[in-house]
Amino acid sequence: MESYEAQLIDIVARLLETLPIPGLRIQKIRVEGAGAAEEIVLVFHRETPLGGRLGFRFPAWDESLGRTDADQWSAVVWANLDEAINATDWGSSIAPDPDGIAWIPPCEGED
Amino acid sequence: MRKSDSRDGAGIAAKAVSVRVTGTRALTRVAVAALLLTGGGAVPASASSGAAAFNCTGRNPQHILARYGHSADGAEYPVPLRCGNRRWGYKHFAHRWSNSFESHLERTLNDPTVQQRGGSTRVVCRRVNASPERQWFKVVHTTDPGDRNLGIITAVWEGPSGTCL
Repeated sequence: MESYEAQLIDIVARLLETLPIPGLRIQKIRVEGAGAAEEIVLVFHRETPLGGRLGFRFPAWDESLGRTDADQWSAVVWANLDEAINATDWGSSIAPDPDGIAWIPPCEGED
Repeated sequence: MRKSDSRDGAGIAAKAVSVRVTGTRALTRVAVAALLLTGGGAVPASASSGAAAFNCTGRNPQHILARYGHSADGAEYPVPLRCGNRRWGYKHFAHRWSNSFESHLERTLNDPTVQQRGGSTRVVCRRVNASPERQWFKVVHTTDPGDRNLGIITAVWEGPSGTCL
């Protein structure tokens, strides 16, 4: 049986194909960490005048759903990525890390 | 009557259906609004009044606050708005909430300009053209044949990502 992490990576990748965010081309998607610190890490080529690469880290799951439904959680990842791009104007003012990746933060509300 | 700040600039006769659930009892109210064009702005003749912020204190993330969208459009609607948490649902975008915001949310789900689907994810957009920064209102939600779906994940004015286009 495919692990939750493998399902999440697969579904998020497919979601970004069927609901593409214009100007982003996936370079890699992986899951890092363990337990509550587990994150899905996405790196994109930024095909806008800014160029370079854009990164986004987001929890691979949270306590509201648990590790039960990668399909539903992938929608949360997509929506938060889209909002982060909007809020940071493609990370235009975020300095890239030494690897040349501008990491955009998620726009979270309050619990 | 709640006045909307809609700046659609188009004549609309749309049925807005919202079901708000409040309190521990299943108190529900269905408001059917005929949106009438007056002076360049659409004003709901009768809308879901009392659009004050919801109270999710002590509530489970799955707690349903309201449902939005035409039930006639299929099993996907009306879609629930749950308390959620800082990453999805009402708590995720509560800081944007207002009567006007709720009105845009209702209209977007009732009468979208663009709908996109990917798996169980739906991106529903309505062209508003309120200002250069407020061209599109966007709602992202999930669907599920049962009631396991998250419902509305977020509602937001579209920015430069351009996913509504």
